[in-house]
Amino acid sequence: MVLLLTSDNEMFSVAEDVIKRSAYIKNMLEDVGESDLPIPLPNVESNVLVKILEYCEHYRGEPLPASDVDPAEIGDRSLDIADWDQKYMAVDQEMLFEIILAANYLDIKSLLDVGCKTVAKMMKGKSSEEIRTLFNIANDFTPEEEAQIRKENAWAECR
Amino acid sequence: MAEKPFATVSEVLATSFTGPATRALVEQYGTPSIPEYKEKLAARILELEHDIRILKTCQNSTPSVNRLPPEVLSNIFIFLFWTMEREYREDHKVFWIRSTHVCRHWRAVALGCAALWTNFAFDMHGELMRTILPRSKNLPLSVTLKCDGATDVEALEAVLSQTTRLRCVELSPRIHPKPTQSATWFHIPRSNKRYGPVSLTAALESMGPSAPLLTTLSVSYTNFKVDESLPEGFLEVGAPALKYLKLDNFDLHWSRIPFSSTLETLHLGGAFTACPEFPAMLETLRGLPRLERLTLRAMLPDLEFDSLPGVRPVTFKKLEYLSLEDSGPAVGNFLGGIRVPKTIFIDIQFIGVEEWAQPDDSCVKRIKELWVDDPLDWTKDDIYSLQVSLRDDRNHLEFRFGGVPETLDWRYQLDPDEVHPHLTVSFPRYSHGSPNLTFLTHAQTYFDFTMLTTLHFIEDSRLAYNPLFENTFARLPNIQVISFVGCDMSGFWHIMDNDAACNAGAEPSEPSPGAMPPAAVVPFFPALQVIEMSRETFNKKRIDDIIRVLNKRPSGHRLGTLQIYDCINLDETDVARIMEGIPGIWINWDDVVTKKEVNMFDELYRNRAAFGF
Repeated sequence: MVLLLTSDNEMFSVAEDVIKRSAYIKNMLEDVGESDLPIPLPNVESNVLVKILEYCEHYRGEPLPASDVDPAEIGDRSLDIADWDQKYMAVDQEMLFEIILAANYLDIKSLLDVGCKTVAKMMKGKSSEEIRTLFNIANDFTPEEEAQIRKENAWAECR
Repeated sequence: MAEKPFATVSEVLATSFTGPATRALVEQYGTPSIPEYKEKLAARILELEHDIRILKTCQNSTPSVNRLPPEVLSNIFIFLFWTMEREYREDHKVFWIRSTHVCRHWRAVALGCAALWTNFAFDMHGELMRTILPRSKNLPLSVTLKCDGATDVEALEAVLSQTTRLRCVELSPRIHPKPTQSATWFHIPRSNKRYGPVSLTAALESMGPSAPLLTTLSVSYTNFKVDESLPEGFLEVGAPALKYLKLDNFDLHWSRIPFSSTLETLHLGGAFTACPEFPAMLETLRGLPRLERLTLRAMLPDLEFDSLPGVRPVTFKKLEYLSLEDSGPAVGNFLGGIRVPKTIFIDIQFIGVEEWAQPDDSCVKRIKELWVDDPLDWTKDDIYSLQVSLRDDRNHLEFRFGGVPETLDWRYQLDPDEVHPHLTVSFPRYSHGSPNLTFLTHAQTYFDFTMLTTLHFIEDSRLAYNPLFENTFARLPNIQVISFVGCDMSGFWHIMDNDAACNAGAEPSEPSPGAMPPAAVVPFFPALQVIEMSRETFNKKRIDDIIRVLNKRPSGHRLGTLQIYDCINLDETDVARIMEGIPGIWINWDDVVTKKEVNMFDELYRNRAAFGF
């Protein structure tokens, strides 16, 4: 078992094969070896870690992604998300981004991809203004930038 | 003395939100002069707008999405880009650029993410491409041109000149007549003088001599373009990573084609100003050991391979797909010079017909010989399925091979995507003969039809009226399924009706064990279990005929199932009548009732068409 200590000082005892989906934890366990000391996760709160562990538990036993994938290699990506993953990601925006941040911190690539796809799907087909409303973002462009954006929009809409 | 501002302004000043600088400016209304005061106001407004933008930027750091690190936000943009890039191909709008128009932080992240700006589709606006090119930094580029014949030529050449960064180039403009002053359909935006008709020769000339990252190069026109050619010295230093090369429908110079030993797919079609001799062509192909897919159109040799002393055939050890298009003799000549032991799909489109009037089976013989030297000792000569069809005004035959050795069987059973080995041939329609039937006659000589289990006819039932049908197929012992889709089945029913074994009078007794039954006792298609009919028109006489003919089949050879889909003038009563009329038969009917008036002249026309009049 592996002990994990969250930022709000909650201790979790997790099976090693479950948490090894996190490349960060996996590497740490390989570097440090067996230890009774908890691994501190200062960037992850307990409620988020519960969600992360739910994901890792669901995919327990599935092969881990290859570690030698070139991150610059984009390949052919789609926004298809497995049914279970879609239900898993049906959370409020705050939790969604917390999951993405934690997946990024813990280096769980498959979860990070699911999170990014979920956000991309939310954005798909929306105008810039709709995206601002969706994520509560203000338009802070300068007039010069606005002019350039207007031109780009016009070019993008026609040839 | 300063004039008083509007009363509404005074009211605003009464609120506690107005800063001291603004308040002072309002109180100094009109001083020292109106023009100077206006300048002060404008300057103050700019200051405030600037401050507001700063505050909005600060505000933008608080939403959850903007707590994501830039690399994660970039990842989201890339997912969006790849999805929308596919959709762009359909409605030609660059939606993903909107991710740069949300806020300054997003724009900075998106503009810094070079991977978003590496695909150039040349029906985008030229200015957009000029804007995008610097954003791609030094990443590999993909270039696609599938427009109606006009594009921003300067932008295209600017991108192609980045040859050392090119990863994928696909240029396939649609052909068009020469534009005229009055040609409004030509779609050249008047606002952009850089737009012009695409000349692939000129575009390719803008490429440098070396493309070290290039993996895909596809340059093709939809129709032959006589005045376009590969430029001299094209990629003469090389494209050492090239895997996919397609050059089609323009003038190709064999010596200018960038053949790379890394090629996995080669598709060449078009005229050759300088076509190589057959031995030189073979030597070039011998230098492509990784080839998996090979398509050659209208460029096959006039010389017979056997007439080339000292030249060995080229064996493509990895080739899985072979597609050839030329006259029968030219295809035969080429096939004589190659071996494709592992090929699972061969597609041959014959463009000549006259040669099939001659009793020459050399082309078919060479098709059979292609598969010798298979390291797994599978010669692919057992045909288990034949499909006869008419598509695009061409007659098609599709042979599927059985007899898969145990060492390979798993490949086709476990992997549904793995295409079962097959050979397709197609012929132009010919008013004075049937080249496809001539081919089939020759195929009987070289391939084994004994294991044939299924026969499909799609839109083409001429064969069922030809003596060849009865002679070739009726006695085969393993045919279990015959299907007709959109065909006239009269010829088939006629053969079944005149089957001597079914008209022998009394039903024959079971032969004693070990004794060979007399030939007349075994009916045509002795193993037939299923007849499938689709898009067939029924009437009372047709139903009576089916019941009568199928009831004549002797026991042990009774039909098991009639599959009826998408047929006309057939309802529940008719189906019930067939089931009652043919004891033991199972009818698999799709329950679709389509009633239609059938004109007797239509029927006559169908029959005449089926006979090829």
